[in-house]
Amino acid sequence: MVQVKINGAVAEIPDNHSIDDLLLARKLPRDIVIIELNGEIIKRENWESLKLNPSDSLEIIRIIGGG
Amino acid sequence: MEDKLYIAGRQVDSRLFIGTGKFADYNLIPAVIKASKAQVVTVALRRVDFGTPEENMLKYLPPDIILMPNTSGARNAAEAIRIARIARETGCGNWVKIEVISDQKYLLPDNFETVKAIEVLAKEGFVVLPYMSPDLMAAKRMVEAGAAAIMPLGSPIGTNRGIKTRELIQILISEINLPIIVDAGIGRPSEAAEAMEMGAAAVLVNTAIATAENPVLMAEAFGQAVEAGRKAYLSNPRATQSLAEASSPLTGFLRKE
Repeated sequence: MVQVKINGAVAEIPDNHSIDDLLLARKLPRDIVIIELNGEIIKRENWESLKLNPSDSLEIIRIIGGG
Repeated sequence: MEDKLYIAGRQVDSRLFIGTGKFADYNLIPAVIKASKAQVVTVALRRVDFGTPEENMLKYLPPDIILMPNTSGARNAAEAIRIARIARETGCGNWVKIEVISDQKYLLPDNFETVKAIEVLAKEGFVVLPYMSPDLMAAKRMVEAGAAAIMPLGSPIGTNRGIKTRELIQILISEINLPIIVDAGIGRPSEAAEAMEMGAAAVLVNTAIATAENPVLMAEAFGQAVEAGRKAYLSNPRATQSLAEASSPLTGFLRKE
């Protein structure tokens, strides 16, 4: 298992987990979220290949209603 | 009469911009947009909440609108820049409403940090519309920084108190050579009409529509008020005067002179 931060909270994820794996595990459709990894926006085309490493900090963001 | 609004070279067909926050149900939003005839619609970005099922908010928005994500939640320029870049990644286009707020009581925007954010984002190709406290010098700095329009507040967000900053907004309309869009505080269609009669280029309304008991009817009322106010402005109304002036002829009738 690997310890990472997701949206500010510590989380344990399996080794060699990609962003796509994580979204699937958390039941998040990939077309509604934006991913920032360690402060950098990650393009969708890299979500499958990019593996998460220990102490990575991930932000999973979505669009909501706002004024 | 030809009267088109252009922002950053793009024609905008409605002078009513609407926000999508505070609606009891996203299902109301398509009918609200249709009834208001709004073309520019704001959204926000937030962290995914793993506790609640996620819905794709964008599916409630018609494809022909201009989406304007805001940077709400940003407390300084760096955070606003970060949120704007994330927003662009959603494929929502390159318009962004800069909103930098660190005052939690009145939610008044930080004009200084806002100028810094505009400088960076305008260079990156964003169409930047800053929410701001109406101040002429701050507005001038925002123009220099590359803003596409200026969005002064009428009164604090969500208060429905109307255009309390009227005199200051009037100065911006007179002195700033960009569209002035009154954002925040407009609580009634009459206040939207007031802003338009003053010469505002547009108004942005969210709370007043979203929290009405019938948001769709209120959206329609706002759309009509904005059109009426704009037409009144274009008709160039005569100045007020203190003494009466009869509308009907007062020449001798049923009276011996």
